[in-house]
Amino acid sequence: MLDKKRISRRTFIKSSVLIGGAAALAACAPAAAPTAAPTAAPAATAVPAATMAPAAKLDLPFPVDAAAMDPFKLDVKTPVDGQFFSGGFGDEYIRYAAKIQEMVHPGLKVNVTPLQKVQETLQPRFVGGNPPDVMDNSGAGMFKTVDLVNDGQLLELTELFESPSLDTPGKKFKDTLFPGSQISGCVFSGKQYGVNIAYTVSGIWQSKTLADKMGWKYPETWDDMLAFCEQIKKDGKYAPWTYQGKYPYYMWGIVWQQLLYKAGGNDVVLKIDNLEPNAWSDPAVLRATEAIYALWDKKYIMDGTAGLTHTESQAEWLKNKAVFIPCGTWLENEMKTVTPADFNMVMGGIPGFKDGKGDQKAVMADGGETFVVPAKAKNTKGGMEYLRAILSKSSAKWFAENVSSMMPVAGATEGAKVSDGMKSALAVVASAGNAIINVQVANYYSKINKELEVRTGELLTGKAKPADFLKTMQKIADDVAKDPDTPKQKHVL
Amino acid sequence: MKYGQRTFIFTFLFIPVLVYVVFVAVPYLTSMAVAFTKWRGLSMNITFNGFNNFIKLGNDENFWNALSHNGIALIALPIVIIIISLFFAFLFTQGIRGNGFFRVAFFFPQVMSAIIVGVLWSFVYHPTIGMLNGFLGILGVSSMKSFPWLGDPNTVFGAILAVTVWQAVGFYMVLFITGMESIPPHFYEAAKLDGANSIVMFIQITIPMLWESIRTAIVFLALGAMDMYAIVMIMTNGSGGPSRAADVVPRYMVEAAFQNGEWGYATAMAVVLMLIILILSILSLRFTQRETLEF
Amino acid sequence: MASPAFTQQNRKERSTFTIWKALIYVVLAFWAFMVIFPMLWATISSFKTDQEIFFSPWGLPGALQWDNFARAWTKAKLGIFFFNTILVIIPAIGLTLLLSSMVAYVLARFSFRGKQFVFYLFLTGMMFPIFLALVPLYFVMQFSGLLNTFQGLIIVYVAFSLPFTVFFLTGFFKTLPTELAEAAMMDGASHYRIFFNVMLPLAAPALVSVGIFNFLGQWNQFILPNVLMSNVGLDESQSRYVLSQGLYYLYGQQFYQSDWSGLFAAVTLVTIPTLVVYILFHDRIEAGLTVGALKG
Repeated sequence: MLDKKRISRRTFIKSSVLIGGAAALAACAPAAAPTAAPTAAPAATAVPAATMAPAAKLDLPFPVDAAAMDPFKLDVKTPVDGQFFSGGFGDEYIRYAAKIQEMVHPGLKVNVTPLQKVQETLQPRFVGGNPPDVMDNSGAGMFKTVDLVNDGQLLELTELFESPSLDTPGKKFKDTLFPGSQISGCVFSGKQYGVNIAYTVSGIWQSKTLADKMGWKYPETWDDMLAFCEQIKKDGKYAPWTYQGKYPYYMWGIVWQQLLYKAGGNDVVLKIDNLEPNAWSDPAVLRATEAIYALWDKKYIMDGTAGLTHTESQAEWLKNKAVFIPCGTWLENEMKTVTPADFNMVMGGIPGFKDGKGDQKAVMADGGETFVVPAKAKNTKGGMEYLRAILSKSSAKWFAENVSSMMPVAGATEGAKVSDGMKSALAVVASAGNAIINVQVANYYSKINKELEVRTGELLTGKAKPADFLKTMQKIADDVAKDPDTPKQKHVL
Repeated sequence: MKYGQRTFIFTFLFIPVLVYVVFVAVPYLTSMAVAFTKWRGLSMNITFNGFNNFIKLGNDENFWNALSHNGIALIALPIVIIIISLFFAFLFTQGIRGNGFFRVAFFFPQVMSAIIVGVLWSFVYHPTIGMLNGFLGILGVSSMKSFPWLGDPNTVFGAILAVTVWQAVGFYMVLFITGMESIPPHFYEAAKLDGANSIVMFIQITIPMLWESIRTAIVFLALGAMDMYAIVMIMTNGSGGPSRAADVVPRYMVEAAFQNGEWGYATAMAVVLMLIILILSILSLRFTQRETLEF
Repeated sequence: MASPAFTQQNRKERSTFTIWKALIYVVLAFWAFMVIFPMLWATISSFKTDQEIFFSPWGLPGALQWDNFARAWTKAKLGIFFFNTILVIIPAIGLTLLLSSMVAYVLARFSFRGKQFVFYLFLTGMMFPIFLALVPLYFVMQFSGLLNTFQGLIIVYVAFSLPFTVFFLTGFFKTLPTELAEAAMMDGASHYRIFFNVMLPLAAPALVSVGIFNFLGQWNQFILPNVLMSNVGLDESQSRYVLSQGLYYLYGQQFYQSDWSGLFAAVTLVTIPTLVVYILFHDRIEAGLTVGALKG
């Protein structure tokens, strides 16, 4: 959070801006964009006044190009109404971005409201035609982004993506973001409707301390994984696996989807995502499904798992009751109050198949926590500007340091302390090169999402066999494909 | 006089009826109209859909699954709750000490909010640190170690029903005790002279005399059984349970509306549920009440 | 409680049924335990650290974590929520009772055209799930400028409490003796005076009972405030939340931040006053709820 001093400085600015404002605006207006602005400018004061004048005047914690000050031409008299899901990251980073936006635009008020059940709370406002100017649409009660898109409720964000970055001089907003991070949950039929502000890598986690103590080596293929689980089970000291019981999402969303790609490559992923007939009878689908079913079938899953919520199962795992758990990089922050000091959680990729068709090094590394600007909002410019602020380098750095997670912003972790868990995840990404796994079917179709949830739960408690799973899912996919009420999406690479 | 009476009636009804119509009746009626439309619930984009939503309901397995659970609750809850609370009420008449303490303790769950009840019981059923499995362990039932009560389709709904029973028993017990207190003692005195013991007296005198209270309990519990929304939402974390094994119509309705964006379809479900509730209430009110409905 | 005469009759038999008695106590104690233990456990847990809750769920806290309560009270704003709830509930209950008894009295004591209609109009309102009305209700509120206001929430609480309260009080007014009212009528009192000076005082016990019933319902209500008081764009965050809404928010947040100790502290902070109020007024509360059921 911003310290008090800075906020009081802001109040000072408020009074002085009336005098300085005209000059500042004048400095923004000329198209004389600074070329080769000093990227390593240590402080605003050290920057030549001609290019960095507004920043210097506003006493910002970072330098801002004149051209980057106000690309959307905000009206500072119209406050920004921001409604944000507040989950594992808390809500202070949201307020931090709001403060940045207010600092860049003296006189502007950015209202921040943290929420839990986003849809329950905001739906009437959408129907009523007065949605918020910007929102974080995440969490268990979120709107299905695709529904909002289909209803024409979201602003297409090309203008934002083409605008200059707030504090990475000389770069466009879009060029400061990690490649591949702005697709999942953001791009529908080729158009950009949201930004993902959290960079998440998803894989399988274990305690490094325990692994080192026991001399375990992380398995390379799924067969190795099963063999290793067999050994742990025989030792009888730990259960090999657990997962987020009441939320089977973690098993299909993280494990199964990655296995699907590794077994069948993007061919199969596209077949599934585009609802092709008989897509689910592809042998790769069966292979991925049998792979996770084996965990149940061979009794590798910790007793009682199915009755636990995500935080509860993760707490059991932290007690070393089970060796592996699938999760994304938010895990560390989510569990920080209950993590034993010497636990040392690290992530590994999903072990694949020697003869699989996909890139076996590939990883699921994408963006999460989608922020959107409602198309019918009163102050869409203010909303877009908020997104520019929250994905600024300064905000990203604060996020890395205080939430121990990462924003998909280049240079976000420069000089920031990165946790061991995040380091291990970044190592998995590095070894993957550009092979990013991207399965979209559940983002496109709410019913398939829910059905995967239910059926994976059955698979992992032995209530259904892989063949049943495939049959049911094929039927649901066919129903959705046939349903004229469901607008179809097209996944293209 | 007659004129004054009419003004009086009008003035007394006007504000309450106005408030009720504006804030309750109009919203409900509007919603019911939505049942005949296709509406995503995100804008004013509404198209008429005739009876299609209702036809679709007939073929929707998930809807029948949810309705069947309401049906199970409809039968199980009144029977179990009434038997247990009658039993406790009977024990309370056996002249026990600490009567006040037990009564307060038994009744208290009734005044707790659904969220708190849900939070507490999620921990009672917790597979590893939960009290239930802890006690089973103490009793030596090792096969139930770490059993996921809320994570197994075979037990999840029963577990939730048990919470409902736990919450309601004290209330109906007090209801029955109150009823018992109004039974004239000479009934029992006469029976006693005939040599009846307390169990016989309970069956032959108390239960028939309590019949009115029991019928009331049936109506209340039946209405409750058709709802169950809050407790199912909280105890299954919104999912309706593994394999939808604890799903109830109101929860499925919320899924259809909020998750699938099918508001027209969801309200069609609500209308069907309403009709069922209406029929049930009319039936049970006819069956129980003679006074209040005779207008 | 059994009638004195009845228990006296049983006194002689007591000694001969000691085993039977013991059994009764075992059964009663078992159920009391089932009620008390979870709450006790939650209360104890609220003094623990998160680690203790999961690593030694059955143990006593190593050191009392008063901080959990401080966190729940100030950071989670439970204190503000308490205040807001009182601010809403007291006028809401008052208005509910006043308006309902007016309708109920008219329905119970007069015959006029459309009486059945009015009665069933209120009766049907008891049967529908509230969330069905939410979205249209939101518009009504927005249109009337009541959205995100305490007044608005009060009116909505009143409106949704009317059906049951009217239903209940109608039954009660019917049972009241007519003599007093008739006598007052003879003295030339107006209908209004009869209602306010004669009938309402007579109805006091029923009003207290149904008032308590409504109090509990409104105290625990969370769907309505969650949508109608979401506090959108008004000021910083949840300053207008009511208690149940705040608790719901905390419960939701627990899923992302695993602050169990804070959640249990909040649960304890909310349960303890309820328990105290309940113990103090349990006779009235029980009477209120059960008489409500009997009359209803």
